[in-house]
Amino acid sequence: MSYVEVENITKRFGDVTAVDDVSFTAEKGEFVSLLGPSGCGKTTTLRMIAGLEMPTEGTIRIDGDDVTDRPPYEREIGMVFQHYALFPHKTVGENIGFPLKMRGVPEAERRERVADVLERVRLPEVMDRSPEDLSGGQQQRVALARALVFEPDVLLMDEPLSALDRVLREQMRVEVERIQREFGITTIYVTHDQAEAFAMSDRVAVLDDGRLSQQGRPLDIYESPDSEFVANFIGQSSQLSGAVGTPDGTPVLETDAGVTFELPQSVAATTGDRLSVFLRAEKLDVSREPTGAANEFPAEIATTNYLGEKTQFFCRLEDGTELIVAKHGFTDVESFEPGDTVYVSVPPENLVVARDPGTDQQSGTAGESTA
Amino acid sequence: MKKDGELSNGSDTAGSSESTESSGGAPLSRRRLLKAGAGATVVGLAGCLGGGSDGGSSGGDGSSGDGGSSGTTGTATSSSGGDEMADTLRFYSWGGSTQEALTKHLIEPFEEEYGVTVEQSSFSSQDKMLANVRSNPAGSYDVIMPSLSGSYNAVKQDLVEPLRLDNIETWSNLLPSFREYNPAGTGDDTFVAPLYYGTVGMVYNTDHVSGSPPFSWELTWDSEYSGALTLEGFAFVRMFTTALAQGMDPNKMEGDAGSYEEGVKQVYDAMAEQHELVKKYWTSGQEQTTLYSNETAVLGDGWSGRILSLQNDGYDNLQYTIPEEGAYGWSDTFAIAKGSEHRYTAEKFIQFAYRPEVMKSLSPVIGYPPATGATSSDIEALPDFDPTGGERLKFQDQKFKEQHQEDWNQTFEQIKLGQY
Amino acid sequence: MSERHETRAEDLRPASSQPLRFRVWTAVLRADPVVRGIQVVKRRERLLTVLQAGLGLAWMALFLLAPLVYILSLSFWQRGAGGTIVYEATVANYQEILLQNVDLLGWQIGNTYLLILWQSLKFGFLTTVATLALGYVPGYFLGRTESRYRSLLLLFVVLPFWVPLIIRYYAWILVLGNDGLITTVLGWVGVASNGYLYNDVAVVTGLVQVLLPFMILPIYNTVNKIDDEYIESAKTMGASPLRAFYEVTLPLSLPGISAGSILVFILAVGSFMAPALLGGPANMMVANLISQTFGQAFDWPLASAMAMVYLVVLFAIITVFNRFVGLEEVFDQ
Ligand SMILES: Nc1ncnc2c1ncn2[C@@H]1O[C@H](COP(=O)(O)OP(=O)(O)O)[C@@H](O)[C@H]1O
Ligand SMILES: [Mg+2]
Repeated sequence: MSYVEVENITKRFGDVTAVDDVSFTAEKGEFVSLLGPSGCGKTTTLRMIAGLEMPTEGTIRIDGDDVTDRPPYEREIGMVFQHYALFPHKTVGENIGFPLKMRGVPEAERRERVADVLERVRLPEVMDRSPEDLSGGQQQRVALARALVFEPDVLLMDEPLSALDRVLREQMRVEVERIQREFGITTIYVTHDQAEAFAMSDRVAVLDDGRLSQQGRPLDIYESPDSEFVANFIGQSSQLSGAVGTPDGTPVLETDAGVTFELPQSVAATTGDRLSVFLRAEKLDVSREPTGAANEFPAEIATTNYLGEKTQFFCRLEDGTELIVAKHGFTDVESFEPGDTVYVSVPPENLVVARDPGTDQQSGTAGESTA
Repeated sequence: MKKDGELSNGSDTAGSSESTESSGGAPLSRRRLLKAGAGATVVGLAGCLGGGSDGGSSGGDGSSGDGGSSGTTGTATSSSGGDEMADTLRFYSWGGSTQEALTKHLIEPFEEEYGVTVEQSSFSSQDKMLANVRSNPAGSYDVIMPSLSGSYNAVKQDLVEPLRLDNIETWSNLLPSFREYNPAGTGDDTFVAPLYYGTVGMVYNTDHVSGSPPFSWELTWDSEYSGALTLEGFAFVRMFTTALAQGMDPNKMEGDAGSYEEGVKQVYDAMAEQHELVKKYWTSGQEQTTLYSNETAVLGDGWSGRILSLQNDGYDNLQYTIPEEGAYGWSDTFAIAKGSEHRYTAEKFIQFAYRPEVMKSLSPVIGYPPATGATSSDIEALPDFDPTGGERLKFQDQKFKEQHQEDWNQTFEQIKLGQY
Repeated sequence: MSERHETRAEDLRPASSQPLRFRVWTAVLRADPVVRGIQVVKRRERLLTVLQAGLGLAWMALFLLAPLVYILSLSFWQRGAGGTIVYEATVANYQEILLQNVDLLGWQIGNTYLLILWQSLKFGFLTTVATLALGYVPGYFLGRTESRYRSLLLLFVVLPFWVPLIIRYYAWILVLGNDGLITTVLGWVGVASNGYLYNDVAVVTGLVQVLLPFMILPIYNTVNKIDDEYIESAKTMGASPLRAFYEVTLPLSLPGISAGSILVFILAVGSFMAPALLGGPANMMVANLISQTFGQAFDWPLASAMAMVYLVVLFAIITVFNRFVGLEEVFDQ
């Protein structure tokens, strides 16, 4: 039994189904992210765990207790809101002391614990300031301190870093993770930023239009997305679709774009199946001459983008289908001009294979990676 | 009908007062509107002084200027010149039913006979009227309508022209008591032409007050009517009536010892005693109507015209009487505004008004007896009609009032606040 | 060509690289008279801005300052016979309304003006407290509700503004009066009375009804702007709805409360019709006294002095209130 169990929750607002039959779990001390594009139902899910929204259907359990029908103030949950929701009429100290005050902790002890938690979020000496006088990053730490000070069962965070600028965001990412580990608190974290989710989480649950697409370790999700949506949403990849054929006895994918792919061993495919392969940009290789590698095919350069840490090649297949190839630490960019023909290759085990929608088998079972 | 110093805001015509009407064509010219606007600014100022009204919306007439200004300001200096009839006459009168009656029974016949266009505007209280005459350019009005008490201020503030009695051929029709009464105390000159008169007499409800007239004002000190008594809220009327009740000459207020100091003390004491019984001091005709008709008050004072119309509406239990000590007399008058460009026409207008047949048709509609000798059975049936030809009427000596009014006001306020 | 001319034409590219007609135009634009002309136009623009601001100030001066200055100067003259004004400067008016019948040592104040001013402030205070008590809940509800009827409900709040004030007060006469609604209804259950009109309660009742929207609307406005997240975060931290209200919503709606209170207080203290129509023999307020002094007694100087003192007292009260509550906050919002 997991520490937090979200079981088949559905939330409907009138005709809108914001969350549709979602289940996931978090172990004690685990950092779980809910990842998905805007509007996919992340916030709604988090709010149901907090008790701010009642699920239309489903059950939520924390440490074995069914809390589905409990109001938020009886749930022992610390929540960091997107805009922090620090009370402007209270000092930082009063803000952080608020949950303690609600629990009847005497003033003196409150001050002590507030000072202590401020120390732990590395923000001493702001106790008597107004939250409005703090910088975004400092407000963030205060919000975190306020959610942690009463040692809640679960910490919920809704895109807490989205209001910060990029540099600060990356610093805070590390900081939040450090604090979470230090407190050892079970955390459910909402974000639409894949890098953020991957960097911080033990496990990630990907949501798509109210439904749970996949959950697992970041590595699993990246390496073996089990749906087109996940593969497209996570990282940069190009998709080619086609039908399985067996010209030499072994099944290969003859794509509509004219390129034939050897499939990974693990894929159980039979002739006639409609499959898609996702070509992750950084898993593709590109060279001027054919190298004889597996799954090699020619393409024409449309543009190149030198980004410093990596270089992107936008290539075009014969039928016009576009592909993105990304090479890290590539310096010989200038020798590639638009119009040049190059050879792109990908080892079969680096292919992400998914069954096309509309085929009978359950989606998300086709891909099996060797990784 | 309106009387001396009726409370302006909150009076029954507050919504429609001070409209600028024009009987007989002559639409407002742009120029007139502009002038009216200028007048309105000053009136607005007066509104400021009034301390603002509840909730921000002005209580009525503060902002609607009273048009009426000279079209040819250049010739204003030769205003009172020619003894010829002019084409127009600017007439500034009480609004409401008084204005209606005046229009139908005086102005329209006058216009017809003399071919003069009378441009009308109206006011809802004496102080507003005086303030407007004072702040608008000379010549903005020809005939204005002060009450006797207002006329004293009008003369002192130099707002009116003396009447050239030779031009008013019907002047001899005026009752002798009015001819002798000289409110302004200005010696030879006559400034006002009284039109009709009335009293602040006693009102009683026959369901609650037994006995029959003549009554004494003493009745209004009877504790039996505690909490059911209403009286006019102006200090000078209270002082006058109380002095009458105390058996004093209200224009001297000398007590038994014969000094004003003692007399006025006696009046104050009596007013303070009476105050304990008062439910509400009324300041407008509308308030009287409400208080007496729903029997919040069953005894008090009031205006006969109001009681008459209540009786006509079926309130047979309401009666009006002039007590044996007499009652405060008032009169509405015509006067000619300072700088009038149509002074001669204005005098002819007064002359026309004093014609017996005009008075006979006007007076019963107004509801008050005429200040001239004109009489008819309708006139004799009016509650305020004085068969002695006005000898019974008691008017306030305006100089006496002017001299003491400040003290009266202050003391009356103190009495009301329980500080006397 | 001077440097100044150069900078004037700095947006033009080097003349040589331009076609001929550009070069001609450049030369024309750099010519002295043209530059001067541009400068004049620019200065004109500045002049125009100054004029616009000046117009605003002039408007203020005309409609706010001028009457005030007029009243102030009036207050130092004297009343002459028959309501005339004697132009002899004096402080007698102020002496009369501030010092007459005042014995501070003996704690005796028999000064009518001060007593009436005090009574007005008292009515203002009572009305403010009552409107706050009655107005907070509707204001709060309107601010928090997500009902689609909210606009309609808001319309109901301001609807009374369309009914003339005097009619609203007369309506109270019909409700509270002798044969009014309340007496009639109480009559059915055997409670006899002579009406509930013409006393303090009637005045405050009328004022509360008339001024309630001035309390509800600012409260609605601030409560409406309180982010749900504040209340929700309080709840996740363990605050019950009641506690969250007390700890969060109420303090955050304070600006609305003070704005509403100040509005209602000012309007109530200066009210004229409520005491005149609904008040009893003793219920006079400062506006009535000023109006009476102005109109009946025709003592414009004294009335002006009364108005000035009233203004100063009100201003002082608001300043003190501001000290404690911080009005800037109200207008910052
Ligand atoms: N209170 C609400 N009423 C109606 N629809 C809502 C409400 N809250 C969220 N939604 C809808 O539910 C969907 C998911 O919203 P949300 O959970 O906020 O998404 P996310 O946080 O992933 O961006 C959206 O389509 C949104 O419009
Ligand atoms: Mg969201």
